[in-house]
Amino acid sequence: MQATRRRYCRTGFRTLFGAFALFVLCARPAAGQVAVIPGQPLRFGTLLPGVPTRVAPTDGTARADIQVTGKGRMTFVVVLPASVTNISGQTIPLQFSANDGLYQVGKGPLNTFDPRSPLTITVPASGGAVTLYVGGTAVPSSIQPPGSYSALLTVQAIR
Amino acid sequence: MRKIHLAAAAIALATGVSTASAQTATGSVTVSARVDAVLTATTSANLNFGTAISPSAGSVTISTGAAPAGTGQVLGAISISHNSDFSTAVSSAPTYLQQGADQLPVSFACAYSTSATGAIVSGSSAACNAMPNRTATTPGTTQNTFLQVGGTLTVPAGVAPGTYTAPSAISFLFTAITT
Repeated sequence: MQATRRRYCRTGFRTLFGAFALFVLCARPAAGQVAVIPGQPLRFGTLLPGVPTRVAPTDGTARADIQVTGKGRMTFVVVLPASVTNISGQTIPLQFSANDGLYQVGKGPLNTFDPRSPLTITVPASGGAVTLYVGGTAVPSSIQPPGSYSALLTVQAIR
Repeated sequence: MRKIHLAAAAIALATGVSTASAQTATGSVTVSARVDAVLTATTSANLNFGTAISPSAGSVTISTGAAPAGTGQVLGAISISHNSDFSTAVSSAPTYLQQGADQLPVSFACAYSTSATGAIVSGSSAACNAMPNRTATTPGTTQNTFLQVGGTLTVPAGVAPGTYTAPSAISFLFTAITT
């Protein structure tokens, strides 16, 4: 009777240990964690009332850049602000077009993407971080109140 | 017992797979822009106290808010084009008018108006070096404000007749106020 109980206990322990080992093995991400690292803000600088101003994604001093680490198939969603706002609540509309986005995997070539749509790419294990560059156009009105305007541009990385 | 093994493994596998899938991460950067204010100032009229007769001591005052009535008298005015609030400060101001060695003490008073000699904007009459900020009616839309410059000239008894002028202009610094 006692021998039978010991056998059951050993078997139960083995089962639990096996399940735990399997859990740890499966729970470990296959390709590391996904992280979004904000870099440079998108800066339109000083605008003249009534004069649209574009920042190209190739403009190294003014474009936004955001780095994403992670491997495998990933989708990036850029949440673009419709406008920038001053402290009084007045706004300057922003426009983004199909060629306002660039991405780069590691030190690879720059590729154009449309920041208005999700971008899905596969990052190889040896690929390095993905950097997204985003430009855009600010469209102040001819009677745009003077002052400082701001907004947030967010990148969501999904794997 | 083998069935129990397999069930536990299946549960563990299911739990593990669900943990490893659909990772998300987010990060944000700011988007910024600045619109500079429009602010220009032009002298519209120089202050002139006109003719004072001085057999005895007295003074001549040019008031803001209306065109002066005396002969040769002119209310000083500076036209300011602006699309935001602005502040006014005196950079430098003479304390007397002079002709040769003779000096007539002078002091200044200012007010905002929508015209060079029109009614003053409520609450804006003050010493020139203590002017309140001027508010833009519609920020972003360019509007015109006049800074009227009046003052008081003291004429002592027995001063020599002639034309007296200030050794320097009264100068103002206007600064746009933006958020």
